[in-house]
Amino acid sequence: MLLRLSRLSFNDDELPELCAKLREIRQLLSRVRKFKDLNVRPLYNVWDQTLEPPDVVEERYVKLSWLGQGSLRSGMVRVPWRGE
Amino acid sequence: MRPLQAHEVINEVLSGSMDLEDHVLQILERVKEKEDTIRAFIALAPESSIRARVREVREWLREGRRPRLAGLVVAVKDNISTSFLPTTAGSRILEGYVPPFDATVVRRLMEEGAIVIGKTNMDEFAMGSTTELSAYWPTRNPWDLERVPGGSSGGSAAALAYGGADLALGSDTGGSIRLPAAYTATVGLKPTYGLVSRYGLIPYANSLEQIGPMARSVRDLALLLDVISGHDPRDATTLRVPPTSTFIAKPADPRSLRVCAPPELLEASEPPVKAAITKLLGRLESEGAAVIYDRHLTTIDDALAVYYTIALAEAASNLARYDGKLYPFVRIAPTYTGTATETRSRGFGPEVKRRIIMGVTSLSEGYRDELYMAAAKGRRVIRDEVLAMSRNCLIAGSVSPVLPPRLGERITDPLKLYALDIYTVIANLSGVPSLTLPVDFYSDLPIGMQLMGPPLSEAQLISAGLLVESLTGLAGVAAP
Amino acid sequence: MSAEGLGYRIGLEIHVQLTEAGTKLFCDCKSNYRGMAPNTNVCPVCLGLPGALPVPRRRPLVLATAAALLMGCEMPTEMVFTRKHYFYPDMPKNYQITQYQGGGGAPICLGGRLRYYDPDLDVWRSVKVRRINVEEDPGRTEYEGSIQSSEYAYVDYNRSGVPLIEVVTEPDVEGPREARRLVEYLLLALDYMGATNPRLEGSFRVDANVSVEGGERVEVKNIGSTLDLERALRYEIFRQSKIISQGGKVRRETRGWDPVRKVTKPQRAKEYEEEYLYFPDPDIPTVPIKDLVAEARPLLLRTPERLMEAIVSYGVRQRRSWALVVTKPAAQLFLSSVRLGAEPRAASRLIAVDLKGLIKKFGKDPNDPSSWPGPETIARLTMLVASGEYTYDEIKYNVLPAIANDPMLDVKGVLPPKANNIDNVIDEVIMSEVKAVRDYLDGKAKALDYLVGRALRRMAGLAVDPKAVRTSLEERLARLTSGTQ
Repeated sequence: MLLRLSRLSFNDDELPELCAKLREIRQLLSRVRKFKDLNVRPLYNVWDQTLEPPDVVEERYVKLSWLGQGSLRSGMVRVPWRGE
Repeated sequence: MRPLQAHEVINEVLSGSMDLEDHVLQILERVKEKEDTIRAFIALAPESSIRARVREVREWLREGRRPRLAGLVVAVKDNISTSFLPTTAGSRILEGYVPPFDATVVRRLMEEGAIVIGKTNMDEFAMGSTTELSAYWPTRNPWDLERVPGGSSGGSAAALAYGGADLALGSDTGGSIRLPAAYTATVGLKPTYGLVSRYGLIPYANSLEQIGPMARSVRDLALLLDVISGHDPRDATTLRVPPTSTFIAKPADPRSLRVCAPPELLEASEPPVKAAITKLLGRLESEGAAVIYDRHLTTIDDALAVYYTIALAEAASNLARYDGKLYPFVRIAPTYTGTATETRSRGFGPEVKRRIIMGVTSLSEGYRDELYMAAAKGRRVIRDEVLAMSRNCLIAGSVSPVLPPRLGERITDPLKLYALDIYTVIANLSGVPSLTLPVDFYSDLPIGMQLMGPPLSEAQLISAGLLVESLTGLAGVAAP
Repeated sequence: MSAEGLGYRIGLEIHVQLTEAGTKLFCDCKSNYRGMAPNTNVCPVCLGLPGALPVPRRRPLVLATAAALLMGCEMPTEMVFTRKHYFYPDMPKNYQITQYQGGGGAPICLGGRLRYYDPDLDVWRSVKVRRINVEEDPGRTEYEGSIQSSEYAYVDYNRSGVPLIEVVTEPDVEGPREARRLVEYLLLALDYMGATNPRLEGSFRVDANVSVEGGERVEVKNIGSTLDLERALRYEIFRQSKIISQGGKVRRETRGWDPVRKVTKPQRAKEYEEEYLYFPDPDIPTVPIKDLVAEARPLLLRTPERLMEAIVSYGVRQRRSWALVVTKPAAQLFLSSVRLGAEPRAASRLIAVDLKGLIKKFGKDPNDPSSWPGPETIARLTMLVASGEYTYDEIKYNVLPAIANDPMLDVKGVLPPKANNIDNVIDEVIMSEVKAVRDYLDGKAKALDYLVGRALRRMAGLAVDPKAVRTSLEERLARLTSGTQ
């Protein structure tokens, strides 16, 4: 399920090593469990900053110049589909 | 070897005693000579466009303008967007992508007359600490070709170390500027979170990373910092502060300097690293500085886990966009899901894939509370401890627990790789600035030290750095 | 077997584009992309290019705040933007920046109530609002042939990043008709607040959740008009009730509305539960709501409810006031003509019924202010009626068509002299149209129409009230009958 959510696939011979390494990493990350029930506010933005939204920032239009003509049709971006 | 420092070059260029074209061509020669072995650049600007740019800046000078970086050669890490050079973040998946816009820092460089010479090698998407995880090739350490230059900004550090640039830009998510600086005897700064715009920085972990200046001396670093820092309306996380003016900073008076050296940032280091830093701290003391050795940073044990949990979650999210629809690299399959899966499986390297899967795990319904959310709480605890300490003293410590590793030594085991970041992630988790500069060599291998201060204390760190430089005599040093 | 009588529950998710915000939600591209060539209303931010950063723009947030105030929402002190992940061709970043309650998120509205007018029964109703999120719209996709079989998806990102509000109601909407009225009212209110133009193609979409007693919840997605919403709900209630009353099972599923065949169709079931990996967007600091509320408050002076109250206070009936309010220029015209001294009740009828009807009949757009005459015209016409100079119908038949045709016309020029010799003309007609009179007297009612027409022709160019002519004719012919007998 994780692979599907990540849109990644692996050969069968790659899987054992992948799983072993993931297990190791997860073991490291699991140390954070100790903070789970701590009564503090999670810190998402390091300065707990807020934003007064501006009206405009002068972001400019761009053309899809870096995409080859093969991925465009009449200006639309062409993406393989077939229903899924 | 001691090439001219950037601020010396600028003096000579502005006073007319040096032609900037001569300066630029000299560096290009050096790059041609060294690149075959070091391989610091993923992309170099064509000589014709460098010459055109030189003429343009020279014209500005003739018009009487005094751009602060006139004619200085700057190497830019490949995860910083440039509209005039491909930007791949060291990944296959961005092969052929030339952004339609410049990063804010690049725009600011260009406005000040800098010559961007090329894009430097890095670990793929900045995920690594040695520059061996670049999708293209590993970069070698100019001080010892068998060793890594550190990472992920290893290309920028290596280019500086061999004299292939006057100044460089790196990015630091968990030590990516400071590790390479320490391994190459260069100077690097991870600025206060929000001091430098991230607009145009290909994101790895948005809440942790900053673009920062890299140079061969503290003065040069200050020159670059003053140009790139300050509020940017395009980055909502930048602080509402003007650009710094650290270039005019004076070396700190040792008698008014207070340094904390918590054992947790030093004790576990290899003996030569520990010895070099202890020696330097001793010299500071003998100059009259107060060095406090018994303050503790108790949260450091959990810092690595908290850091990687947050970084990987943000990374998994940021990397979702690379599915073959809006970027040139694509592996076509009949369906959209197939194309996305195939493109990502071929386009990302193994370490990136591991981090994506782990990041997805920590955000998933079943694990979010015990991983991502728990780490966000832990981050507050760590930040508060670091902030409290930084109010009393500058915090000194190792940058890396080890000397520059040999090529191949660290990358087979992810945990060993992650462990290189143990001392550096603290500054990213707590948002504070951290300056790395060389303190000594151990059998020709550089050793660096980091100094952390309270938020927006860049000028103070630079003053302290100037003082340290005056003691080590290493300002401007470059590999032979 | 009868499928009626089972209880049901309806909840709605209404997505409305803030087309009038000016900018997209996180960049300066236009909020209204209609008429632009594909992929020309795009910038690094709304294309999700790496390194481009979303910065919330003020106007969309002020408008969303106004919507939350309209629904009396409980609001957080700061709102939070959250990333919601799923891979799709129309999503440049493969995550949507939205708002989510939980996981560190905070939507702009945490619960409220929407009051709406039901013109069919002339009552006010209300529905509980569970929450409102502000979010970015994805791009627009075209397929070749059907969505299932098309080899490619063709994506235009002009819509990507357009600000949306998603209003989620509790499942206590009374019925299909009420659902339609609710959405119509909401759109009208947002229109009056200057947030959206609901007449623009694709400016809103509704997902409806329907469950019939004894069955599970079915979601009907992507309903694009209020009429279709009512139809889709009726269809779904009928379909589900029938299954249940025949002893079948209604399982939880997602269906799509086919507006051409007027049926709901099953959508391909997902093989797995969605996992959206929500977490607060680290590029966007939280946004305090206090200042936005202060800026949004004045927009609430212009809700349909407030306007209807104002109109009713002139003695106009509530249902008539709704007929004025549903067409923005009509309501405005009414209020300004009353300010110029127009008689309110005549003015409301003139505008909301007769003139509006004619404007539509002539193929003009009643939502376009230039389809309507100026307030002085309305004021003058109602004064002519009030003074007794002309009857309402004389104005209606002789003046309004000309004005609907050319709103700039001077009333004086159109106003015909009064025909004060109707009786003489009627006598003349009866004398000359002997055959028609006989036909009528023989019981052919249609002959009367003919006679009325002849009379009107004789009075061409004068102000005549056709109803008055008909009544007089009838009276005269009746007398004729009694006379002959």
